[in-house]
Amino acid sequence: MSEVRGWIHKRAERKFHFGKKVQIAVSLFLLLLLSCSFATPAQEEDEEYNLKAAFIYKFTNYIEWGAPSSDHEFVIGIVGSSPISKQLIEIAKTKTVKNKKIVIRQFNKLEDIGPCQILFIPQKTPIRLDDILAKTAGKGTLIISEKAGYAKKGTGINFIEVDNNLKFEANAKGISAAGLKASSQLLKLAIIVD
Amino acid sequence: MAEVKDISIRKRLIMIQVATAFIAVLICCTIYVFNNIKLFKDTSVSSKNSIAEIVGINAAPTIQFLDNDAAKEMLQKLKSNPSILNATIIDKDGKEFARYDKQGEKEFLFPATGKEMQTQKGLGKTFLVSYRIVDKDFLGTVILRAELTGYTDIILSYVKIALLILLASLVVALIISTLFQRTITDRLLSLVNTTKEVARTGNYSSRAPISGNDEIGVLSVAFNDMLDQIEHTKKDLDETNAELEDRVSKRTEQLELANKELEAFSYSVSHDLRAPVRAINGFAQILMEDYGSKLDAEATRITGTILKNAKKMGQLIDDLLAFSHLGRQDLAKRNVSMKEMVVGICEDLNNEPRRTSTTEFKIGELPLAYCDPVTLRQVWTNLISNAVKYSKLKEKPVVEIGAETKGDEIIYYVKDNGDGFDMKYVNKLFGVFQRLHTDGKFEGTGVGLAIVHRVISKHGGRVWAEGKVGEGATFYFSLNRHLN
Repeated sequence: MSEVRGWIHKRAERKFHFGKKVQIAVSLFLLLLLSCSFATPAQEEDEEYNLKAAFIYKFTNYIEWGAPSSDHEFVIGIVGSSPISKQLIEIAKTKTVKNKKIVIRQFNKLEDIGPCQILFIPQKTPIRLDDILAKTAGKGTLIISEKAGYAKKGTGINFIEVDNNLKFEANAKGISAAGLKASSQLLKLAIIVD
Repeated sequence: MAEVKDISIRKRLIMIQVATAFIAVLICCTIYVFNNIKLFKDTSVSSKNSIAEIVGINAAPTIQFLDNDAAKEMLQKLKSNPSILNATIIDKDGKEFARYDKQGEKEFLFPATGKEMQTQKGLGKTFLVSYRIVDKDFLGTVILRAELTGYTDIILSYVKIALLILLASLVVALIISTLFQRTITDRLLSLVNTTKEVARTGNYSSRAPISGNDEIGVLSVAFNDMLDQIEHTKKDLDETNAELEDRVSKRTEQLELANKELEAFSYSVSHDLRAPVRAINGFAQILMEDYGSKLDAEATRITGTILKNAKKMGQLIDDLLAFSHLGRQDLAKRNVSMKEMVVGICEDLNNEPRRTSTTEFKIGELPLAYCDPVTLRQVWTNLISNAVKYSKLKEKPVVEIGAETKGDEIIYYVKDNGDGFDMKYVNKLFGVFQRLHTDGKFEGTGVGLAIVHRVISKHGGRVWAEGKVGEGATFYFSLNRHLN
């Protein structure tokens, strides 16, 4: 990308006179570089959560919730604030899960956490993991986290990065303890953690 | 090559049956082979379709969770199916997600991706199958490229089986038709043999064997009926013939007996008449010689008349005896020169002392004849002297003698320019004692031509005459031309 920009810059050099204009060009170039280096983390974050949101939606294909919930909503809860909420809300606008409307809820305090089919714990969680696990145990909630070692600690699925690719760990015991059933196809793709 | 109608029915029947069986089985075998090949291909294609489907279903989560490695690993399992050469998974955007190439197989450039793809048709060795991966949304496509393993072997084995069936059915058809055609041709042949035998031996009592009520049976019955009729008719004819022959031989016997009696009678009469005639002649002569001086003129004339008539009667009896003698004489045939005989007779006639006229003889070519010379001399003598006698009153009597060959016979003739005769009396010419002229003009006993007729008839020839009053006559006789 920088090469292309360098080429454009060289073309510009020919059009303008040397002298001051060189300085302007250099400063412009630096500015461009800066803007690039600033924009990249934001873009990457967007892409990352876009993918995670899509994965979460697709997990619903491969997980069976044992106890059918009485209401007509499929609740995805988010602990605290996360960029994923924006992406999930996008998905909820057009898609359904098992013919149920998708509802996105944000829980900021432990007491707020209500019944939900999926609970996403972002990297910076305002509530302690153990408390969340204790609160949701045996209620048919699939806990999805994104911090190394969390799967081992008891979440059902934990996003990790391997060779710049998004992968996920699965805690089979944790999933079945929550009263859920993960399909073998999903488990095959996951890194199994005990 | 022999014409079809010259080939025996037996062979033709076998040929027709074998050819029919051959064509029928050939058609069946062809259908069998093509059907099996098609079945084989369909099975191969549908099995690959199922594989593609399984791969597609299993690939769905890998596409969804963007796990190329898992997809590749899964595709590697296709190794266990060596007929799959290449495989690819293409995502919904048309980008290759994962691929598999069988070891040693070149990378295959799959056709336009992402679009609905039909199974490749045709008899090619390789083919493509595809499966659209859909899990709520369209996720991507699996495309497999596979070969028909053992395709040539399977075709060969089917063709071998078909050839074996063809050969076996030909042999069976040959055996069956050889056995079966006997029920037709054997009976036909026996009918043909019976026909040949009847035609060869003329034995109408043999019958064709009858078996069955089919066309050959009907033909045999009709043939036997025909033989019945012929046999019956022939028997009738034979009986009638035998009866007729019997009657003829009886009649002939009676006739011969009657003829012999008649001849014996005429001979004895002639013979017995001789003595009294001689007595009359002798005594009349004694009267003339011893008592001539004592008789007056009238008595001498009467005695002369008695003498003349007695002589004539003697001549008549001699001729009659000669004639009846001829009937009993056997012919001693040999090759005779007619020319010599005729020339001799003419000379004798010319040298006769009592000759009153000079007759000119014109003798033409006279071929040899196979005949009895003694009796034939009599014939010529009678005919030539007749001609001389009846032409002697002419100013220039001419007798012409000749012959001509016609077909199987030689016709000899004696022609004169004498008094001739009326053709209405032609039937009386050759009868005994039949005379057309009076004694006053021409002497004769009326036996000469009868002798001619009898001799020539005995030789198997014919005699006839042509003439006109005052213009002469021609006498013909014919003899068989063949010499010995």
